[in-house]
Amino acid sequence: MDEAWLVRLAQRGDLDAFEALVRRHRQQVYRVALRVLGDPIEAEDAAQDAFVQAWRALPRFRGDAAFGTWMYRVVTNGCLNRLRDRRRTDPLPDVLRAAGTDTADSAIARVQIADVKRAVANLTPEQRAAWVLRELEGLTYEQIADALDLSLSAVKARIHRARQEILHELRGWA
Amino acid sequence: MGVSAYGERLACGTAVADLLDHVADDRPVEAHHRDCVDCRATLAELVQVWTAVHRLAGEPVAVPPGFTSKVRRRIANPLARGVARPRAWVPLPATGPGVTHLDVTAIARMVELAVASVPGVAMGSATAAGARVRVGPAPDRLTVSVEIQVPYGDDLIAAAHAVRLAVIVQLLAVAGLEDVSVDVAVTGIVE
Repeated sequence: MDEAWLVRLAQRGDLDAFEALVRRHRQQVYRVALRVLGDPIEAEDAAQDAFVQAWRALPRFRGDAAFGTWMYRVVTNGCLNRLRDRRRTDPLPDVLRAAGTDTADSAIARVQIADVKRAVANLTPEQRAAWVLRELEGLTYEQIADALDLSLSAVKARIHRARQEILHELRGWA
Repeated sequence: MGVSAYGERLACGTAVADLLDHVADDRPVEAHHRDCVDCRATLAELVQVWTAVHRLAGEPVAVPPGFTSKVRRRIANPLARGVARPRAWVPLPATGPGVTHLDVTAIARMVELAVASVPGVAMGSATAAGARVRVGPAPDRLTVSVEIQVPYGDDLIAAAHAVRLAVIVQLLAVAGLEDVSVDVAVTGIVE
């Protein structure tokens, strides 16, 4: 079914239509939450929160942007609020303990991915959100500016700086 | 040049960070970058390093089971709204007519005692007033966040596992709470 039609139905209170929207966008929303927050339990909570907030705010959604783009904004801002509220802690890399059956190449790849995650965790919340949307979600700078309510130059500056920080963390591979 | 020189400029004056933008955005390089030996070598290194970012971007992420129905439940049931936010009490399993509630402060105290029962582990200094306890992410799920200090040299993952187990066992034995998730943060190492 056409997404704009689903949105209109949901705006009239059709929960089935909204559920269809959730099914379409849950992967994207949960993925962003997980990558920004780094914690699966909190990410699930944040992703659910984002959809509940979206449901409540639907009457004010004018459809200027696609529903999916709007959801990027909702979930990212929710995650930013959580990051600002919490103390910074680094999840222990439990996953690395199970690497015994890996081939050498895949083990290296897993370690490198873990290093990237660790580097991302060290970014400021604002840098992290912008970087995730650009590098992992593939949004354009303009879309990120819209999602984060920032100027284009501010978005570019954040991502530029975030890349430097991550590269700094990943030094020594080459 | 090693990639550790990220903040520096190459001998030709090109900023390494600018080269990284080319790599990360997959933008065509400028004529100078193609002709300059230093730029070419640095670009090759950056492409190699940034492969891990592409791998992470391509890593599959599975949505937790029951996600959509949980969202729907939270929307449909006004009482379920804000379930992940702090609550003053937690409903205990029913044993007959009527409802029993347990104050989260009491749960926090039980968590502290459970942590104290794990040899060598102490509550984190930031939580001297008590473990943080919240309900969520599901309406009927209790999530306990506990901060601990572990002796230097101990296996951190084993210590976290022991704490998690002790808390789960304690809350099951005393309060009959079955669906408990325990987040452990090691906030200090003690000598």
